[in-house]
Amino acid sequence: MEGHDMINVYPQVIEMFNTDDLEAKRMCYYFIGTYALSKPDLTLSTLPIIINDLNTGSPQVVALALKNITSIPIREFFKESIRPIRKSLKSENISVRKAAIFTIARLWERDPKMVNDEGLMATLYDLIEDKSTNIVAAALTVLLDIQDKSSDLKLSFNKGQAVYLADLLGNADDWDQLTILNSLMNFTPQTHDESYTLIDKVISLLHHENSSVVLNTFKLMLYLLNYASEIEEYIIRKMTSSLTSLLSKPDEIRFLVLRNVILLILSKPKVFHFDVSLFFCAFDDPIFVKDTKLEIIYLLANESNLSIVLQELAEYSIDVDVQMSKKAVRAIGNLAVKLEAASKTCVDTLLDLASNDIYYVNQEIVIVFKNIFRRYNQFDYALSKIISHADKIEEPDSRSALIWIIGHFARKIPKAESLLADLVSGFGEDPLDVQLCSLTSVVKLFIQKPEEGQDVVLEILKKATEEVDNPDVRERGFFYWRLLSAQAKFPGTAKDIVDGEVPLISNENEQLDPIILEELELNIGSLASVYLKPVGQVFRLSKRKLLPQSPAKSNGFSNIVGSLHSTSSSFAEARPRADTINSNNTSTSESGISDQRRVDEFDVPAIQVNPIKKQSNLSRRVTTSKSSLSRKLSIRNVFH
Amino acid sequence: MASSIYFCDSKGKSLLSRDYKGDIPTSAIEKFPFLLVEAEEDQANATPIIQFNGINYLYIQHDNLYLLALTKSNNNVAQIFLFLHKIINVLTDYFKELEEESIRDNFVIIYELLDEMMDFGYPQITEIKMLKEYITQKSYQLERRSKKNQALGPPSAITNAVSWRSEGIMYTKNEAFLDVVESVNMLINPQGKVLRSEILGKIKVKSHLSGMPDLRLGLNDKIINAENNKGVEMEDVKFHQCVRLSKFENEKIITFIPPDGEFELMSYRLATSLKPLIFVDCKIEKHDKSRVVINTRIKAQIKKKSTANNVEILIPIPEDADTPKFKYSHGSVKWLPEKSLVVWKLKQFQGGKEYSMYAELGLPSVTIEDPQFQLKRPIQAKFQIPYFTTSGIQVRYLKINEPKLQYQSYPWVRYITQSGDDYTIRLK
Repeated sequence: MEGHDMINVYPQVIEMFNTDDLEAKRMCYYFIGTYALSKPDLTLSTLPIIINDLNTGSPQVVALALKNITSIPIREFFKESIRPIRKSLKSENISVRKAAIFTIARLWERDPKMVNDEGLMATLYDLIEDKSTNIVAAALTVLLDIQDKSSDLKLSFNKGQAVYLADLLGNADDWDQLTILNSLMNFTPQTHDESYTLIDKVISLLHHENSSVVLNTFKLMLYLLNYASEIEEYIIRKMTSSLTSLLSKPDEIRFLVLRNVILLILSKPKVFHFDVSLFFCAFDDPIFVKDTKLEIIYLLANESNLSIVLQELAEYSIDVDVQMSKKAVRAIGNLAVKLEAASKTCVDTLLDLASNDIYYVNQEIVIVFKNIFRRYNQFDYALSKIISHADKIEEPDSRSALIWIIGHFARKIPKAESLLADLVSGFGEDPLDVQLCSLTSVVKLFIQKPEEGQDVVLEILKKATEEVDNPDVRERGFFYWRLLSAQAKFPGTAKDIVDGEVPLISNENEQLDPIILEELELNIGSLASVYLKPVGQVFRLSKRKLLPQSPAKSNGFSNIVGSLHSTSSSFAEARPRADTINSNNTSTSESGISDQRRVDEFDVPAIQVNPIKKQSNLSRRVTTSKSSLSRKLSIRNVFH
Repeated sequence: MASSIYFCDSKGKSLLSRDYKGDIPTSAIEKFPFLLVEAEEDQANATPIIQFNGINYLYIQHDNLYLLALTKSNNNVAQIFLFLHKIINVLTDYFKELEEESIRDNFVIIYELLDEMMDFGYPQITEIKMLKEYITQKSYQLERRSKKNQALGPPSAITNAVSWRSEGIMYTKNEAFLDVVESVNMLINPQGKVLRSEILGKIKVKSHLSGMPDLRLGLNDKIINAENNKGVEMEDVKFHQCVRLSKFENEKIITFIPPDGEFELMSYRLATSLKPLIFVDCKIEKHDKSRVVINTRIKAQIKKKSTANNVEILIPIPEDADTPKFKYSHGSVKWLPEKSLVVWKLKQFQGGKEYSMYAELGLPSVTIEDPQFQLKRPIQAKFQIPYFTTSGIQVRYLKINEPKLQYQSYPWVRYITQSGDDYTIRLK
């Protein structure tokens, strides 16, 4: 059926078209739909047959013809579809009526003006009050679909309509329930009571077996709660457990739920409390589930659960999967930086791990220690232990980190010069990042220990300026060379520039922008909630959703009544904050230039959240190293 | 809403497709094999949702097949995945096995099903029973019947409020079977401490009942009192769509008109700290480059009257271990070199009993394996305990009422507790 010469049998297919056999007819329709534009004249000749089909008594044939008439992108077909649509909408057969309703949606995509002019939009509105729930749901589906794309359609239900729709939920099947739940997002409560009324009507759907219904009920309730003056605690508890119970569903659903849990941790940390042990990995979880769980564990870590979290992370860091292991180590390191009170325990856990001498674990440990040493002064005892592994550190990122550590703390390290000389001995063959880092570190060493560092700095600067082809390295080499030569004239300048104060790794709050969070909350369970990016950034054509204004809009989330978790306040304090660590961004942090983000505000993805890789260029992975410029512009996330 | 649905082979090449919206060019699917290769290389990014060139690929795997939906807009993800799973269920029901071969052999009927199950990218009729009433697989053999069905169109049930049950079902003997199945998941650390434990419970129903029966299920107060924190707190309950949810929400009563045949009435999850039901204490000592010694002790920490059946303890061993020697008093022990496991099986394991097993395996003196690279795999335990639920949930009654037929009916209940997918004990 794949053959390209299939087009040649078009005339024969048209002959077949008049058959009584529904299966054969269905295949003819499929054929015509596929090749319609290749032979427009032939296609046009099928129109009478289709019109004939629309006039048969068989509901299935009529439904089939309706579904196809507007799929063929030829104007004559659209025009001819109007009358049958009207007629079929009055049919006694539900499936024919549904087909007619969806045909309106198809027609709208081809020609919105025709749909308006023919009054079909008004018809759709009327159908919302139909006796059959199936028809109501179909009409709502189409209206919502059009609303997403149309610039002027904005559905808005008043309380009466919303209650009417919510009352249909009990008799609807699950797909229809989904539609109705979604359409209720177009209702803006005008009083707190309206919000409570609706919540009461939908809350039982949190018990539905269909995960999609559960997620949409959750979304709707979260939306309605914005218009409540106070929230009873059991509602929140019920919502939370309705989500976590989905964690025993198929992997894809679990993944979706986990991503939405991340969203809730970021947006409503004081409202939704998740027990961290729920997210411990099973050994046979797929990697993408483990990965997401690891992120959640990191986000949920605080002083009170630190010991079990660290034990768990330590367990993962000797996982068979190398990536998982590295991410776990990275998470421990980031925790050390994030929670000052936890830093000592984290450091000890890391040193303990390092003593196992597992190759890939140690590569990662060096990287995280770079940030830990930078953030805290009190871990000098770890310095010598890390240095003792120097001869086994081979991966480029790890070597950069080690070279940075030795250069930066040369004063504290005995024989720093010979260590560094060993590490940079293969300077010519090193990858670009390591070269840049080596350059800066030898200069730092020289500034801190002029006598001892003299030989190695001369050797590396010579190599950088004479042997290396890369302009970045060469230019930096020349720059340092001149800087050091000018030392006599401008004493202290070199130190200020190369070995000056390093900006602190701050605990500055890098939560997602509240507006982005608000928008994502209105999109729970959608693709945007998986990507955790502003909707407009991922889906260029889609409309922005924001919480509609209303007199009832209030801050009910800060007013939760009932027995609250006693840990809530400490939880809030330990709320996940991503730190301005650009651990991979060696070139900027060395030179002490703080990393200013100049990316447009709404272009910033969830920084501390592992973004799902946006695959824009398949060949991208072939390129071995990025230029340092592109590195500066790209924002690295905490785990990578 | 999905723009199109594709069936692809193990390489990601399209076998069959249905385009519902016409807004995504066919070239998009040609990229899928490359995306799969890339995902293979980079496991952490091998998520079931991939965005490439503005098109979102949502896929699931079924044996050697990929089933995927493409979309351009910000969609309801769960709906799409559930729909894909639904397609697999329906097609498996139709063809017994869903694989490349059965797709090629049955493409006509698959088109027919895809047409009925989705319109304009929105799910329509997805109930197997309903579809089977008017889309018959062997229509060429039963030509007359299928013609008749064509004229009838979708059965009336689709338009009913009770979309999951047809009218006119008759049984000579009216019976309903309830299975209460609890799966226990547990993660135990090397010191024997339980890090995480949960019960995933299900009540499955097999209904052989005539007419339109209305059922009412009475449980002991484990669920009903969830709000009062009395007893075990039932964290969350999910019901089949036939259950009247608002009735449960307001009155804590479970009432429903069941679908015909087998279905899952409800599922629940209980996060509660449990004692290990089967306690496993295992020490694995590796004597340098010569042998590995395993000492295992297991104990059935259940009531004396209860018995665990089909107990299996799966112990990971080094890949290059060989020449096993075992000592044990009960059950049977097997070495599975292809899985690098030693499996200890006990047909029956009575509550309170305690057994031990000793195993010794040789290790080659020269090993290519990096000694630093230790496989971290946990021990797994599998078991079934009949007549017993860990949570204590009990069916008090099942009332069956068919207003028109008023027949005598027989409800049956069975209980079983079993190990979940994740009953594991970590090794040091």
